[in-house]
Amino acid sequence: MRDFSVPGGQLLAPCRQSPICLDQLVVSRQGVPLCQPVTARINAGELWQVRGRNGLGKSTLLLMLAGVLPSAVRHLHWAGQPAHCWQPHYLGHHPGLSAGLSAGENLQFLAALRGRYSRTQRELALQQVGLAGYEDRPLRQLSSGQRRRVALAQLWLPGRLPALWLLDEPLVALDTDMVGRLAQRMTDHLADGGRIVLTSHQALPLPLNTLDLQPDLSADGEPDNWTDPDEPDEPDEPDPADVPETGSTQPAGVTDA
Amino acid sequence: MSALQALWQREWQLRLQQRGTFWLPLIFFLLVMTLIPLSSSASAKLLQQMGQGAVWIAALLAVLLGSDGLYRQELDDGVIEQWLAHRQSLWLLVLVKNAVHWLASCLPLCLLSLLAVPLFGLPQAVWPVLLAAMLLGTPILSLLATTGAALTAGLGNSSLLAVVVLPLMLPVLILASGVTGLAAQGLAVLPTLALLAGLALLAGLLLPWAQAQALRLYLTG
Repeated sequence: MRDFSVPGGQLLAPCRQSPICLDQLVVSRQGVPLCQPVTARINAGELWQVRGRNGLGKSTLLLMLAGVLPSAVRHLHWAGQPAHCWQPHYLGHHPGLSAGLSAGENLQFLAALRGRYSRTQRELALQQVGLAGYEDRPLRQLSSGQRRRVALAQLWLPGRLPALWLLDEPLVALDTDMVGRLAQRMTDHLADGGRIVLTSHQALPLPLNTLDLQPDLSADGEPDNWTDPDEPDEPDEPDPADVPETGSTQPAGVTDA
Repeated sequence: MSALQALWQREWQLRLQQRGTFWLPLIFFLLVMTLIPLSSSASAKLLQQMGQGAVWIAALLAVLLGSDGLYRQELDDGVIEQWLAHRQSLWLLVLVKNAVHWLASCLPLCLLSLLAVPLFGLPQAVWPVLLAAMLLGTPILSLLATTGAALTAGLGNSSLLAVVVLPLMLPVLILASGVTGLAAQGLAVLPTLALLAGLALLAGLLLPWAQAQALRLYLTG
């Protein structure tokens, strides 16, 4: 029985209690809104899945939450702080791995962006994702699932972890064993009071809230027929019919692109 | 290890992995420099005059050849996205990448350029001036080329890089190739070298900032 827990988990957050507020956040790329404005409250201990068909801006929303893409503080804030002041853990679709470097060298660079970690700590993290002995293997010799594991190994690094995890398609190319380990790690993180926002087209064996992105139907990109729900989030409600930010009962993810 | 150290180390690790891209501009530089004296039947006097410019044209092309992919792969891999997501300064990333790029690709070029003295029959005494001009001029060429690389990183095609950057390299070319001529005639070279040094400082201040802005625009635009 392997132990996947991470010792000394202290979370980095502006305020442990206050929710992350998305108020009529317009998800846009190059000034073009991709979907109807999003409203949600992300509380401590909550897992959110952003859903919607391709091109509706799921990854863009995650980049805005990560503070890489700009957003106005009145539309997106956490305890009054704008997104670029948070310290999230963002794992993009391209997670910053170089094919020319070894698994160990890649993790060394990504870990150093967050803090100081010893070689033993990094090897332990690789061991937790089932890559023990792969430290010196060039990444181009690893399968896509193994590459994904190298990126995910950051979540098993010890010490102070960002409270907010933003995972863009974390389950792609992972086998069931690794999905199980990741789900366990995420459960531990949520139990510690962390928050996770992820996009995935695969089912995740965890209770989650869903954030469905709806197509922006108005021509000007300024939808006026949009109505604000009184309470957007219901914790631990995995019901897909629970569409938080719109009156429509049809989730956008059902219709194919 | 701090993020800056990690980036520095990563840059060198990447360069060690891609030894082919290290040798390519150097071999190209040597070939151009040897082909010009071989292919022209010019007199020794004419060859000497041509040599001063030929070194710089060869250096310029070699710098362009080696700078193209500096940011494209990093953008595709999401490395710069991660750097931003960790609230690191993009300007620092650009600075480190440029510094390593110059040390790894232009410094060997500076040393190789001394071969121009025997190849073109330049007077023996000009080699310190040639080396100094190369050491001051190649950072400008390198920074201009990497600025072009940052601007064209979003495009698959790199031929635009040369078109964008070559006209901007003209002042460096004129000053730097002239200075060896001045040295050959025994004239004062210090004013021209000082001008080159000033240009290098200006480029070092402005161009990394411009590159950071170009990358930010590409990611957020």
